[in-house]
Parts: sequence; C-alpha cells; structure tokens
Amino acid sequence: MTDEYFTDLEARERDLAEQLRAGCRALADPDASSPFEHTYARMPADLSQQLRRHMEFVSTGLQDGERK
Amino acid sequence: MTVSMVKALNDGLRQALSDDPQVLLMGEDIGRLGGVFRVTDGLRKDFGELRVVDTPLGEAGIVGAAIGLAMRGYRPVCEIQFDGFVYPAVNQIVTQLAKLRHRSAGRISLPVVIRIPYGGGIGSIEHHSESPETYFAHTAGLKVVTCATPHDAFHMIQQAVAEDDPVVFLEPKRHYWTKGEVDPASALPLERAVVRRAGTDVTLIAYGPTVPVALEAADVAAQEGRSVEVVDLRSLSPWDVTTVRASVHRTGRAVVVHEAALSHGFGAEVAARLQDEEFHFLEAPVVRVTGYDTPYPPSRLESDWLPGVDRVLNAIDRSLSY
Repeated sequence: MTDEYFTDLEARERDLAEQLRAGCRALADPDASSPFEHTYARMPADLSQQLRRHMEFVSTGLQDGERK
Repeated sequence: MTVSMVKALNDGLRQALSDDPQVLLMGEDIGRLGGVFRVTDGLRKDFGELRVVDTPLGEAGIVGAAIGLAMRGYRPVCEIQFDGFVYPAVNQIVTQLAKLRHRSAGRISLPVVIRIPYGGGIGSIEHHSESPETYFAHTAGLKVVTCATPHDAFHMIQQAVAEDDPVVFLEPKRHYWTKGEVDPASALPLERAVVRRAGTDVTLIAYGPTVPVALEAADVAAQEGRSVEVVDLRSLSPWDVTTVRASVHRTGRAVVVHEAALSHGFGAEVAARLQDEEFHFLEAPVVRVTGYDTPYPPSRLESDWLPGVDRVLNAIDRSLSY
C-alpha cells in the first residue's frame, strides 16, 4: 500500500460522501403523516386519533416558534 | 368445560400449533419439563422437539432467534420463565421486535408472541413477582394484553398467535390454577375491554391479577349498599378507552387497580385520558390503588404491599365521599 493509494482512497471517500449528502438533501421532505404509518399492521383507533390531531395542527401551517 | 388457566393456555397453544404449521414454541424448560408452570406440558411429545424447543438460558437469544424465525415466515411463541427474567431481552424487544415493521416501511412483519407469567401473590421475591407491563405498553409497535380468566386465556393466546404484530402476552401467575368455564365457541376481539360486573356508583378498572380482587371488592361493597361496576381492560396497548369512557359516563367515578408501582403506572394513563375526555362527567378525581414505588417486597410483606380488597374498598370510599 502506497501513500498515493491512500490519497486516492480519501479523495474517492470524500466524493462519495458528498454525493450521498447531496442525494439526501435532494430528497423531498417525508409526508407529515409518515411516522404514523407501519407502526402496526392495522393502525389502532387511538393512534388514528393522534394522527388526525397532528394533521390538523400541521394543516394550520404554523411553523415552530411562529406564535412566540 | 371447566379448566384451570394453565390448562386453558395449554389447550389454546395446542390449538394454535394444530392450526398453523408455522407456529412454534420456544423457551427455557418448556419442552421436556413442560415449563415451570406446566403451561406447555405434553406439547413436545405431540408436536416434536422442532416445534416445541428447549432453549439455552438466555432471554436475549430467545427473542433474537424468534425475530429471525419470524422474518423467515414462522410464528414463534416465546416463554419467558418469570417476569423479571425478561429484562435481558428488552433490547431485542424494544429496539428490534417493536420497530422493524416501521423501519422497513411495512415490508417486515414480526408475528412473535412473548408469554410472560407476571405479578405477585405467590410468596416469591423480586424477579419472580414483578409487573413490567408499562415498559412494553409505552413502546410503539408492541401490543400488550393480559388475561384474567381461563376463558380469555384460551382464546386470547390463539388470537395473539394469529396477530401480525408482536404481542406481549402477560399471564397472571397467581391465578394459573384458578378454574373457570371455557366456551370454545365464543371469543371477544383481542383488544376489547369487558364489563365483568355491572354497577351504577363507581367504576373499578382492573386487568390481569387484579380483576378477581376488584370483583371481590365489588361483592363486599354491594353488601354495604354500593353498586360497583368492574371493567377488565384485557388489552393495555392498544387499550379500549371507549368501554371505559362508557362505564364512567354511567357512574361518574373511577378507581384503577393494578399491582405495578403507582408512579408512571397504567393507572396514570387511564386517569389522564378520563380527565381529558370525560372531565365534565367525573364526580370525583380518579383514584389509583397500586403497588408502591419500591422493589417487590419480601414475601411475608407482599399481602400488605399488593392492592387487596380492603385497600380497594378504601379507595371506593374515597371516591364516593368526594
């Protein structure tokens, strides 16, 4: 293993990391309801109620800290 | 037919093994011995050692292996020998079993049942008398249920095995040898609470080992002229708040009874939901009758430590005198 090998390896590692970060940043935001999905095979009534309330809040369009 | 809870569980597991060849049982001493409480007695003989598996003494390994088997299409039923022995498996249960459906966006189902004999009242010590239900009820992705009668034991264990979600199945070990009628043709949905006794003055809310205590307290209260309704929750996660709300609508008062410690116990959840959703119907604060915020006591002290009939009656008095 030569110094050149490790220099090249580090450069490829940086490129790959940058590609991954850029790919993640480019992804659309997940839907606000998605954390509630796939918790159970069938969503229990209580969790449906929590989802409904959460989506009502989200639909107000308030951003965190906006009412301070 | 009239059978003990142990026999009802044995019959239910036998039926589950017969109905589905992917069902298998695993745990410490469950095969050759038939389990320390004999819940699996005779099942290895009838279904073989590949479907009723004696495992090493390692709860994390039991649940971890069950997760792998479930990923390959099996429906494992794990026996944890005593309540306090489940703690080494908590990492597998909470970080893997409960989460893999969500983590895989619904691609992985883990139909695993974890049977746990729980609660006190058998003259034993910590690790053998504990009530760990809220650790699991607080974990999204798990279902947590508990039977109080042989009839429910027979049906609920089969329903739990048929579930596509992981189920923590809590068995009140002090009632293992209590006998009761089992009707094989009649089963409530797994997640439904049930009114065990109708009443008009106050609602007693109990589950698992405290259901018989609540019913006995209701009997005594009736002799004193008080009409007490008893609700058996049966399922803690999800829990049937609709049935509880309907009962409190009728009585205006609620007393929650469980063996687990007071603080952060399931009674706190019931009280919070009732004040949130039934505030205008409540005639008194919700009262809790529970174990204390201590490790489980020596056996000579347990009858005072556990919520017994007299403490429940005192709580009923407190609610009615408000």
